[in-house]
Amino acid sequence: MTCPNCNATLPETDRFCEECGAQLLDLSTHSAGTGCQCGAACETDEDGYCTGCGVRREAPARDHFEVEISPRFAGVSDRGIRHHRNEDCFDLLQDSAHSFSIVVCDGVSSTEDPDRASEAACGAALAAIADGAGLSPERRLLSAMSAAQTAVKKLGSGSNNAPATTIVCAIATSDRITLSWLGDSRACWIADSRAVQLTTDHSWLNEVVAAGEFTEEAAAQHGNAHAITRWLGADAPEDSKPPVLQFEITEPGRLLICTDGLWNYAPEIRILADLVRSSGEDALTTARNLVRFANAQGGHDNITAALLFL
Amino acid sequence: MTQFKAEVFQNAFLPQGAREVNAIMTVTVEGGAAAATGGSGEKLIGIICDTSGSMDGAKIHAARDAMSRMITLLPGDASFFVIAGSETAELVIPTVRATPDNKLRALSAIRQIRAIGGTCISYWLAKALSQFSAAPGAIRQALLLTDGANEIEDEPRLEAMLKACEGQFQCECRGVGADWQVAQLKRISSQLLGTTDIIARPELMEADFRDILQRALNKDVSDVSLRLWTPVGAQVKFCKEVSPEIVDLTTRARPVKPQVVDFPTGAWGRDESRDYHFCIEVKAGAVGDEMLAGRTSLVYTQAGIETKLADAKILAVWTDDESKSTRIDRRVAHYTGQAELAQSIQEGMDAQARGDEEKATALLGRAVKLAHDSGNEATAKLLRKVVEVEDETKGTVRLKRQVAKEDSMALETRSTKTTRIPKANA
Repeated sequence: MTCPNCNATLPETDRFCEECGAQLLDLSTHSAGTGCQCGAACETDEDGYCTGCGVRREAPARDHFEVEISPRFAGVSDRGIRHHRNEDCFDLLQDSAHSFSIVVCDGVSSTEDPDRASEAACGAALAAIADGAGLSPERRLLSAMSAAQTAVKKLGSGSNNAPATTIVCAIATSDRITLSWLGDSRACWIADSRAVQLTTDHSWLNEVVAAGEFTEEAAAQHGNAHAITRWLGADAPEDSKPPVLQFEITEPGRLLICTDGLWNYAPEIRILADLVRSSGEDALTTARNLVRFANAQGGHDNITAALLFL
Repeated sequence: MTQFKAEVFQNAFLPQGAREVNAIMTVTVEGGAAAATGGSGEKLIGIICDTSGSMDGAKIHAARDAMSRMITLLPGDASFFVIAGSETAELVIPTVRATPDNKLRALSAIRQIRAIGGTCISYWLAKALSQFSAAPGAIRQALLLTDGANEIEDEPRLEAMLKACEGQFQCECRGVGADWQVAQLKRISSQLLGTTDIIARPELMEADFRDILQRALNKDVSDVSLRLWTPVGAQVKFCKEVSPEIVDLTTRARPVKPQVVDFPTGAWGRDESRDYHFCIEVKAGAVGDEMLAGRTSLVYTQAGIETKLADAKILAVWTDDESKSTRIDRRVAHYTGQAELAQSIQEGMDAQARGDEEKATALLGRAVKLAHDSGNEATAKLLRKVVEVEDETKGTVRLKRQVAKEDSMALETRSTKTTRIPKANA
C-alpha cells in the first residue's frame, strides 16, 4: 500500500502513514466501532448502553466538553479519534476582572484510571486556587499543585501502576502570567509578532538532550522520546517540587495551554501560532479550531486546548 | 450509614476479536447489613448431630459438650432446635426460643443422646427442613456434624433432599475424625451455601462450634442474590465466589427473565466482604466499541418485594493498542492463580490416591509454588504436611512417605480457601 498523501510504501494493515501521519482508512467506522445495531428493538439504559447488545449508544459527556467564561476566555477538551475515552481534563476560573486561572491535566494512559487522575487533579487544583484569593499567584499555584498531588495520590498508592497525570496551572493578571507544571502539557504565549513556549516539557527527550547524551534528532527517534519524567501521583519522583515561572506581559497576545494531543501535531510553535492567529477573536472558536486540526491529523490522543486572550 | 458496596476490578480493554471478559467484584457490607435491608433480625439455629454407632465414645461425649456449650451461648432472642441423626432422624428439641428454661430442658435432653445405628443424612436434612420452613423471614443456619460416610442407599434420596433444601436454609458441615468423605460433605455445604471443615480431634469441637455460632449470629440479612444482566447472545462461562473461599456458582444460576439470572449468596453479616469472579463470553465488538458486558447487582427479596442493595458494571472495550489489551488486572490474575492452586491440590491428591506419584509430585509442587507466590500461608502450611518442600519458589517437592490421614483431609477440605491480594500491593 502507498500513502495517498506522500507516496510512502506502507504495510497493508497500517491505518496511518508512518511518514506523514496521514489517515489511511475511514476512521469514522473503524475507531468508533460498528456500534449498536439493535435499532428500535432495544432501549438505552441509564448509563447510555443498549439494553439488548450492551454496546454504548450515547457518548459520555466527558468525550467532548467546552467551558466558556467569556469570548476571550474558553477551552475545549475532546476524546480525539483513537482513544476510547477522554483522559484529559481542564477547568477555568475568573475570580476578578483581571485575574484568570487555568488548569489543564492529561492522565497518563499507561497507569490505572488516568481519567480519574486528571479529573481529581484538576478539581483539587482549581479549588485550591479559588481558596487562595488574596495570596500571591506563586503561593496559590504551589498550594494548587500540592492539593492536586494529594488528590491523585488518594486514588491509589500501593500499585506499581498508580494513577498519574500531568498538570499545568496558570494564573494570569493583566501584566503577568504565573505558571507551574509537571509533565509535558504546555503553555505558550502567542502575540502578533512572536510566539514562545513558556513551559519546558518534563520529558526524557529534554533530559537526555540537556545532559548532552543525545542530539535532539537522535533523541526524537528514540522509543522513550515521549516518556515524561515528572508527574502527579503516588509514585511521582520524590523531588517533585514543581517549577514556578513568571512571564511579564509586554504586548497583547494569547495564552494557550494544551495537552500533547494537540502539540504532537505541531511540535514547532510556529504552526500552533499560525492556527491561533488565523482563528479570529473568539477564544472558544479558536479552541474548537485547534481540536478540529488535531482530529484532522489523526486524533491519536485526547486533545485539550484552553485560551485566554489578553 | 451502613450499606452494601459493590466494586468491579478488571481490565476492560480487549484486543480485536476477543470475546472473553473477566472481572472481579468485591462486595462489602459496611456496618451491619440489616440496616441496609430492614431485615427482621430473627435467627434460627439448627444443630444436626450424627448419633450413629461410630460416634460412640469420645466423639459423642465431645459432641454433647460442644452442643451444650453452643446452646448456653445462644442469646435469648434467638431460636434453636436439635436433631439427632442416624438411619432416621429424631427431633430432640423442636424449635424453641433460647430462654433460660428452654436451654435447661435442651441440655438435659442432650445428655440422653446415645450413639447407635447408621447414617442416612437425607432424613436429617428433611427433619431440619420442616423446622426451618416455619421461619421463612429469619436467618436460617444449620450446623451438621458427622464422623462417617453416608449410606450408599441414601445417596439418591440425599440428592433430591438437597434440591428441596436449597435456598431454605444454610448449612455448615463439620467432619470429625478421618472416616468421613470430603467430597460428600462439600457437596452438601456448597449446595447449602456453607463451608466444610475437618475437626481432627474431638476436643477441638467446642471452639469450632463457638466460632460457627458467632458467625451465624453476626448475619443479619438472609436470602441475598447476586443478579447478573448480560447482553443478548452472551454466555456466562462461570461465576465463582473466590474469597474467602472458592465456590463455583455457575450451575446455580436461576433465570429471572431473558438476559438476567440470579446466583444465591445466602446471608450476609456485619462488615463482611466477599469477592466474585465473573467470566462472560460476549459477541466481539469492533475496535473502538464499548460494551456493557455485565451489570451486577445484589438483590434482597422479602415478602415478594425486591430491594437492590448495590450494583456495578462490567465493561468491554475493544482496542488496537496492545499496551492496553495485554495488561491483566492484578485481582483477576490473583484469583485465577488461587483457582489453579485449589485445582492443583485436588488433582494432585487424586493422583496420589491413584498411585501416580510423578503426577502428584508435579501438581503438588505447582501448588506449593502458587501458594508461595500468592502469599497463601495457610494453604502453604497444609501442603508442608503432605510434601517435603525443597524450593518453594520453584515448586520442587518430594512426597512424604508417612502422612496422617487427617492432614491430607485437612488439605483437601481447605484447599479452596483463598487469600486476598497481600496489602503491600493492594
